[in-house]
Amino acid sequence: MTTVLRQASALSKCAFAVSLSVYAFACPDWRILVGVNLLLAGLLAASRQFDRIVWLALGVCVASLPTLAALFLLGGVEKADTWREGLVLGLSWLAVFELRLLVMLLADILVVKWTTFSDLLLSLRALRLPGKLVLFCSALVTLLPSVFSLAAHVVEVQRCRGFDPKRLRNPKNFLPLFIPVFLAQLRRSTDLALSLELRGISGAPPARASRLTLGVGDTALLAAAVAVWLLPLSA
Amino acid sequence: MIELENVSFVPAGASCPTLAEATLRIGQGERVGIVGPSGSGKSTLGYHLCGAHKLALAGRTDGRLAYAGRDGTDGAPIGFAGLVGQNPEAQLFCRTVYDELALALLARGEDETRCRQTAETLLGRYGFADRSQASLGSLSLGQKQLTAVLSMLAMEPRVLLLDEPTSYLDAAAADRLFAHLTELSRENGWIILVIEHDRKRLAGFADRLIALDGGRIVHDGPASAGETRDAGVSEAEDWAEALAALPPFSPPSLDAAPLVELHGLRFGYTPDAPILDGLDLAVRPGEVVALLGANGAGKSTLLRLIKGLGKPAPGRVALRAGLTAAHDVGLMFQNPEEQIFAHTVAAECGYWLENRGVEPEERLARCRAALAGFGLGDLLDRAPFSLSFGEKRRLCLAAILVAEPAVLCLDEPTTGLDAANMAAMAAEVRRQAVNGRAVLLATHEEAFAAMAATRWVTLANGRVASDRPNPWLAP
Ligand SMILES: Nc1ncnc2c1ncn2[C@@H]1O[C@H](COP(=O)(O)OP(=O)(O)OP(=O)(O)O)[C@@H](O)[C@H]1O
Ligand SMILES: [Mg+2]
Repeated sequence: MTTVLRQASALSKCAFAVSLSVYAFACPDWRILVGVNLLLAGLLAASRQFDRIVWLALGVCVASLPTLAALFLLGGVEKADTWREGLVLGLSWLAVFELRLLVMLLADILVVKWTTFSDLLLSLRALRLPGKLVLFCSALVTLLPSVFSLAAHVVEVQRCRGFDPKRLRNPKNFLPLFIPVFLAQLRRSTDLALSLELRGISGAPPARASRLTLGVGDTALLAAAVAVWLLPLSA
Repeated sequence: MIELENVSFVPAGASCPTLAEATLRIGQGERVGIVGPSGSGKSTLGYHLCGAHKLALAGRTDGRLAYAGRDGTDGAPIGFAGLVGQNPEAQLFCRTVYDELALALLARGEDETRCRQTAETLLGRYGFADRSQASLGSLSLGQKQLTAVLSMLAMEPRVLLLDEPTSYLDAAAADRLFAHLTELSRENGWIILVIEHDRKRLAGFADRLIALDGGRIVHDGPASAGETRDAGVSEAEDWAEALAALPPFSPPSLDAAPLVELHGLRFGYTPDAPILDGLDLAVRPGEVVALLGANGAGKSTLLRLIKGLGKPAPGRVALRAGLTAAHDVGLMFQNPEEQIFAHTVAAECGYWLENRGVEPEERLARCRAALAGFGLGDLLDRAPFSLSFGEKRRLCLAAILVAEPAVLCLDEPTTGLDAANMAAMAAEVRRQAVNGRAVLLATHEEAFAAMAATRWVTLANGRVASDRPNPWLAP
């Protein structure tokens, strides 16, 4: 089943993810939120994408707990009449917020794992967006992964000539790393943009260029994106 | 097909043109070699010839340009030209090899079947079909270059510009590529423009040669061997001659303890697919080992292991007692674009010394000496990014040599170097060996292996397939 969904166009996937995320922030009912989270986790697991990155997302949620707890508990105590009620209120806010955050992260991971950059690019083009915009979007989506790998590479190169990675613990040492990564990224982007333009990514799509066609996967995802709004919005 | 009339190009912020008054006509099916010293404007001319000047260059173009009979002041129409630059890694975009090949076709609106056919034919021709679903990050540099070239071939342009297309390819793949390009130009009338420093290769391929110097076309004519010599673009083809001019190796001291020993090395990026599998090798001081082998044989991987950038399992990299990988092994990366990061040439060169805590004055003095040895003596304050590819290559080596590591690992040290610079590089390698260092160098360039190495070691299937003395050295 997940294969069909994965074959859907990048835009349907994005619509699905965005719709779920927005819904999560509108819905105050923790049971529904838990359900949505389970659904997303299930989809990830079913497509064998439940890997380190997902655990990292869970880790981020856990790591944000103390700060958020302090904020929400303070808020709750201020709002409620008694201490006790305030704590309970704060805790419930906290739980709902964390669940929402998780929905957003999981939905985002799902889209990233299920789509390749080229899918996204071609879908944007099929929407007949202006070429330069498509090019800009493609540069943007590849920016993060490519900055990460470049940064890792620059650290490796520097380590080969006596740089001690422990020094990165001091934020002061980030700048000398950041600048070369930035410059390298800049040069790379220009090379990449040229190669994409030559391959016709930014030009006006020819008449018979692929139009968006709705497959089974697209229908399912779009239906889900709409259906989620039929769920109750009040607790 | 392509017409340039009095075309000049002045880069933004510069006063003198990097291309001056170029007038050229190139017709269907021509195979053109573009040659000239580094920095002579070969790429600038190339971009103008394929109508990508507006996309690739920042500056002002004057003169008249036309592509396929239409005015090309703003460049050629999309699909007219394909281009592979000197840093093929930077132009790859997709996740897998297949996606990369299909991208241009999908953008044009072709269907999956057609994409699949095209990709299969192309990959099959280069014996690369089994990697079609491989992720691009897991390819060796040569495999990446091949993918970049194939992705342009797949879109079937009418003009194809290749900037040093074989710099990272092994000899078999390079021969295949040039044979394929010849076929495409003969049968389909494609114009193939190749910027290449390997004149011998070019002589067997191009039917027309354009030589540039200082942004001007100094020769334009048929590419017969005699004429190229007359035009002053000849090179020392004769290895024997070049060999005789190099400083001699000191006689090998077979009783000296090895500086590096590799025992039963096994290593893979994924546990089930070992790249190296039971590899043994020992390198003594004064020895230069040329690592040969096809693209993806594991040459770069081996050098990385010696530098300690990966852990073999099982197996062991043993350095002579008292040496450490961090301090005494120098690794020069395969792609110079990937090694340089500092803001000036001097800072780049002195980076290792700086990390060792060498005083600034001494550092500068040592950098000066090292850079002067590579003809970069007066570029100390230049930004490394503005250097030519060959200059970057030499800077990378200088930045390793200043720290005088006992073991040198050089990954393709001759890409982007012309014959003279290659001979200079060989001389430098020999000097290092005479000073008692152990050198391992991965190379596809047989001429360089002949000039610089004492031993030729060929890797295949994760092991040493052959290990013999350099056949070109007099016994
Ligand atoms: N980061 C990586 N992840 C997974 N596989 C990799 C990675 N880097 C290299 N490989 C694989 O390891 C094999 C050896 O790669 P390596 O770069 O050592 O080859 P090489 O001999 O240096 O080739 P080339 O002549 O093209 O430089 C290749 O098949 C390549 O696909
Ligand atoms: Mg390599």
